[in-house]
Amino acid sequence: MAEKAFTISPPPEHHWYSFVNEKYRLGMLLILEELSRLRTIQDNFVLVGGLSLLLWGRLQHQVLWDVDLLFKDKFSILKFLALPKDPQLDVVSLEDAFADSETIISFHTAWGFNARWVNLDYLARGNWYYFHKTTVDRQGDFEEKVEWEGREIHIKLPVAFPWDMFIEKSLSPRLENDLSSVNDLSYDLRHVFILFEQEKENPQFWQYIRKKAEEFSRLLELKQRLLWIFGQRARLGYGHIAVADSVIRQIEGWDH
Amino acid sequence: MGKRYEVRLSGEGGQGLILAGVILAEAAAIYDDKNAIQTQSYGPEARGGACKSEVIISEDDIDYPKATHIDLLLALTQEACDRYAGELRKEGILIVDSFAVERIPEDQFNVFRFPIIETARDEIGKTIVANIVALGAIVALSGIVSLGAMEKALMARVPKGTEDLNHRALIAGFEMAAKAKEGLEARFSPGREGGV
Repeated sequence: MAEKAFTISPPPEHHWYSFVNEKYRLGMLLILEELSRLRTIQDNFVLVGGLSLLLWGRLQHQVLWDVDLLFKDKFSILKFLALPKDPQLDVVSLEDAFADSETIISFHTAWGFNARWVNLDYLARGNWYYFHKTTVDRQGDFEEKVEWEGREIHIKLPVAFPWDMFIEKSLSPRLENDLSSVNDLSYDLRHVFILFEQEKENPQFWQYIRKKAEEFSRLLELKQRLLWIFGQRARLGYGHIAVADSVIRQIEGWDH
Repeated sequence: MGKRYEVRLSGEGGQGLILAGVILAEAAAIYDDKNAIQTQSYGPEARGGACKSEVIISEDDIDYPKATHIDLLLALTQEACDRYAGELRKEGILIVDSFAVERIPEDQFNVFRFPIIETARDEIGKTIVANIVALGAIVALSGIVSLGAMEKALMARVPKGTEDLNHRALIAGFEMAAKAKEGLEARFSPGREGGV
């Protein structure tokens, strides 16, 4: 594996799965283990969304987590859907067909071991798969062995990296809608501000997101979106978060 | 409550119904120690902007995660009411926005008409919290989660500084529904109608 471009912060004092509700904890671990097994057969997805930030220790609160898998396209999703799953695992399709909009293709399912259900969503969104995959290939998988009631659960998965998630969440059409409607309950916005608080003093972070957005031809869009988010933060319920003038000036200087 | 209880929240995109479903499920599973699953479905039917979110809550294991027998339906648009009311079980609870929904299908439902969107806009000052007003009404009418659990689930999701606004929205919905329920109890048989 090539040299890593940046280093992920050390894991938090509390382990990620302590923020998965106790009733669903084992089920979530078993689902991630099953995905790790399936990935050895078909390596065509990246785990994205809030759960990716939880796994990397960036989120530390309890919600009902779901699993978002990002694929290249609908064909890749269909190939993955066809893979035989663990006989102990129940999979229920929540939709009769793919939801296919201008910006996203999605298919929602529920996965359950022992009637502990977790939402698992299949997604394909433009070239975002490659956006995440290039970093994951460079940085390596999320890997962990968890001892659980006498058995070892081995998780090894391509998990989107937090700085890439910052860019993706900042640019998401869903966030644009939340901003337009001044939705202070937006979870994308919450994640953006949590990551911002963690990284705002880190020059490597700013260099990275600028470079990555530029490579992805989304730099000007990211600039406009971040200035919108930070400029409106009081109306959005995040007035308590300080954004230094130097940060604003830096973003305003993104002119390519 | 041992049996499963199925809630469907329906309306149009941008009304925060998926998030409302998530908060309801979290209130049940995390703060009331029940089993819950929230699911959302867009599918081909969503192409007109329709949106629905479902929550199944049970003290027992949930053996199947899809709603099959809706106990409570929230409809914030006429289209949602027309499309989904037929799947509401007999004697189930139908909550509609009293301005957005004019026609209610005739059936054996318990119908509640509340000015949900108007309350969010005029009383709380923010239309986007109509989903939270609706959650308050659902808690009061169904008792499926405790008000305390709902308050905790909501507060866990709001940023600092907006707690009061969101809490007022929840309580406005709760009180309007509690009042309507009180006025109707012991007066009608199934098929009754109330609201404010």
